[in-house]
Amino acid sequence: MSKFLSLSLNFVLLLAAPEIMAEDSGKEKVGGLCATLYIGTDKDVVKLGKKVSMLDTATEKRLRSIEKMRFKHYRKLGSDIQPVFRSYENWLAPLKPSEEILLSYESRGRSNDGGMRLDLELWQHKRKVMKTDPVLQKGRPLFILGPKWRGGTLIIAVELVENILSN
Amino acid sequence: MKKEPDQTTLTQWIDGELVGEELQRVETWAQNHPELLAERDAIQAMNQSIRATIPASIEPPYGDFFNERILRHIESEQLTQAPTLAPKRRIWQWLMIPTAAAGMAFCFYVGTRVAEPTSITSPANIVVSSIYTPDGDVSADIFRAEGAGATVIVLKGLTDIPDDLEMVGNPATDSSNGASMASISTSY
Repeated sequence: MSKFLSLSLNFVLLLAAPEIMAEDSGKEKVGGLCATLYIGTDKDVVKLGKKVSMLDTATEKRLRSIEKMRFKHYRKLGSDIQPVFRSYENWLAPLKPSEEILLSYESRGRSNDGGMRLDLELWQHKRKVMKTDPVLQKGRPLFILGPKWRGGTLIIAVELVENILSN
Repeated sequence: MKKEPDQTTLTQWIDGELVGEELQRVETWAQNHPELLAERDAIQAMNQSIRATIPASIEPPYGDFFNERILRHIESEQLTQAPTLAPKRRIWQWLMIPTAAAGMAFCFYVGTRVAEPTSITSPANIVVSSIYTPDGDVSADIFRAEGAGATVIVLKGLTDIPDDLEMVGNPATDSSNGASMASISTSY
């Protein structure tokens, strides 16, 4: 009889496990964050290799309009989109599977103007090189002019692509 | 010592705070009270164990980042409170602001003397309130690019990425279901 009870209890727990896990509201998705890695260079783009891709005209025009990011050539190296959780950290790896450039982030809730407060960290070669606390709005990216590579300068664009907190 | 020491002296002896002649007197008296000797030894052993386990002081992580945020909060509080002050106090307020600012600047310098503070140019419309660069050789400037509708952080002093490293990633991926959180090792 007791064996039957034990088996029944295990079965009930097994069924209830997803419900118990779903109760963690911290894992609820509250937005989406995109990190795109570009490179700007005044040198020959052949040095960058064959795998780099061209930018769309609008993005190139946007980058070129920023004086400190004005280069002869721009190329895209990679991109990653990940969810923003209500209270859990998450990571962006635009060079996946490489971990040379990583971004870790965590939501700090909604700002007064409907943006999303974030704790954002930039990692280079598994070393944290910058920590900041931006308020991001959809369509208004944060550009980070980062390290140099093959004569060019990396540009990391961090953009909120979805913001459920703004509703 | 034939007379029993008072409670204060006994407590000081147990805590190892007695010295010189007084210590000798209590030690002599305690030779006839092995239970007190055992208690003293046990307490002192426990104290040593605690000292070995718990450091005397712990440096807070990212101390300068923390200090900087506190200073900014204090500054914003002062700006908010200034118009509500009575007219008679305004002249003192004017004197207090530079004094407080100088004091805060000094405290900030002391708090960040381990690493050089990051230079931050705050734009009028602040989107990023503070930047912290753990490496003292790295500095950060922030400005708003109105034409591009973006905020820009310029990091200087970063180590160059080796040219032989292949730096092209896969196309964008979105694992929007909560279960597939990126699993990336950050250990050194």
